[in-house]
Amino acid sequence: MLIIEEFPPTNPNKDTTKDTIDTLNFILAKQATKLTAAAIASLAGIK
Amino acid sequence: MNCSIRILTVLLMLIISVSCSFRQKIEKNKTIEDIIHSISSENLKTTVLELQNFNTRYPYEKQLKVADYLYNRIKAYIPDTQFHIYEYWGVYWKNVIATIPGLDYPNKVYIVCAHFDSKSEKRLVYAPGADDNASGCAAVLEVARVLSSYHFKHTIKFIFFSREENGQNGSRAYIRSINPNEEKIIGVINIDMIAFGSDKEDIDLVTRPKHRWIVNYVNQIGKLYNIPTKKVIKKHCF
Repeated sequence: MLIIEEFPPTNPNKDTTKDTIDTLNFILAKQATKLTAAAIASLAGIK
Repeated sequence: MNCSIRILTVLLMLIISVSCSFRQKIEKNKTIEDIIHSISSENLKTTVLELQNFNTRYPYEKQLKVADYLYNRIKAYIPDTQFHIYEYWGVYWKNVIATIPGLDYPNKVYIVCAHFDSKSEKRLVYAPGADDNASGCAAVLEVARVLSSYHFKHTIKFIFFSREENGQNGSRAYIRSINPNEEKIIGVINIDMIAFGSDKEDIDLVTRPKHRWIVNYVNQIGKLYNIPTKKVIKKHCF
């Protein structure tokens, strides 16, 4: 089991009603998505 | 990231039945490079916004609607998409599972997953959950989109779990439902809260010591394709 997550993690004490799209960094999200796609393609043995 | 999210993963870890070392050298693959280049930020943003627009993904009725939304989105890429329905406290909840069957080892499965419910102090009416965990769902959808054009030796399952924030009920129910003789889970990548932080942040790869092989493997992939990662092996991380 592997968890891919941000670093540092979101402060658990922050107001979660403010967890909205305008606070997000999609460069970071894109990198994590690329990594996941590459890792799964490799692990599962792409043909 | 809160404790409950980390706890969710433990149950999945318990059923990983193969401890792989993957010590072989991983070489760069042109097809995988093409896959990486086809990942779209715009697609990630669209999904996060659409999930946020549910206002909350906490109440029962909302979670059913979100499951329907994710079902329709991923089925457009992967025809073998199904609901996994489970009972909890007398009502029926839905996970969503899309499968790309493996050509050589169909019973050996890799899972890419994320939870889709959200939580806040005003959870019944407003819990946008953009980072936690619309971002993870958007990543699962985008990975499904780009991989759906290819064939693999092993089976890949893309799973959206309900009820993570209240005790990981969705993932627990899924684990209880599978027959280990028919479905041998080799590895799981759970994507949780991937869009908060500065551009300079590394991507955390988190697992327990006994499963460090998968962190080592993904870390190698990161190095190979210039994606900065940080290994985090924690004895009691979940």
